[in-house]
Amino acid sequence: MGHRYPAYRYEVGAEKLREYMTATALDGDDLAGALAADPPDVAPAGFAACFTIARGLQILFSDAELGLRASLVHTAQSFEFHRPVRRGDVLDCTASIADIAVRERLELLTVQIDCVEAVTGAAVVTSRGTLTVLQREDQADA
Amino acid sequence: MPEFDAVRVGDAVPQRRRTIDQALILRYAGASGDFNPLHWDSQFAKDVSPTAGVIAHGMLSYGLLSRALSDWAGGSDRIRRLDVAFRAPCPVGAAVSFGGEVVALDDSERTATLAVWAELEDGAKVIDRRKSRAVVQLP
Repeated sequence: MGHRYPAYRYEVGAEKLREYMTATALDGDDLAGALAADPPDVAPAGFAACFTIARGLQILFSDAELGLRASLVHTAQSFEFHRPVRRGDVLDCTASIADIAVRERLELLTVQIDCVEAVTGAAVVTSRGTLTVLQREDQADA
Repeated sequence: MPEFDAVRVGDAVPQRRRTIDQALILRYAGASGDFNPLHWDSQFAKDVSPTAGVIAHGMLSYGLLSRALSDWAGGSDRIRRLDVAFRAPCPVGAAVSFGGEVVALDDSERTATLAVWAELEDGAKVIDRRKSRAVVQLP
């Protein structure tokens, strides 16, 4: 617990924002308009997933000591914005294990990713994701 | 866009909907970089999915919810935090509703705290309102 992994860098790109807007359009939204329009200057809150979820999982799975092999279920997710994420932001993101708990024989792993401005180090977004490690067959009634 | 002084506890975010078809899930996989086969490979999903079928990313529901909230709040820059608890899986083809309700107001910060949710047509809670909150900055 408390282990910090090496930081990775992420740049918030215009086309990635446009892709995200079209992938999270609600019924009644103008999809053709969203494709034609300039990408927004400010990212929707959920966009932070693009630089925290897949990268975070990759980091966890490559940690041999953590030994994650079982299936994971995403149980909870929080993004706290110290300021909005904007197009063109260059962020340095550092993952750490915030908590490991066992509840009803299931292991809950909470991963925090602190994303800061690469140039100034100022905090931008704090991500906290909780993953449930599903009990494997070979662990049942062990 | 609601002004802080006009917002009351109990006010609702207009309910929004989205049908989660396989094309949308693939679009989200590409946008987010999350290519877990649970979200597109039915053979893989048969063995590991809680529904024995392909299910959508939890973060797709999170993203759709965040869009509904920022439409109500008047911009993405108004969302200060969004904490959700995922509960029911969201199968391919589900019509999901997204909503929120103001549960607290902070006069000094001019923020509203909302209980937020995502729900299937049969009432299953994809995002559980009892444990999911947004904090929104209002003008």
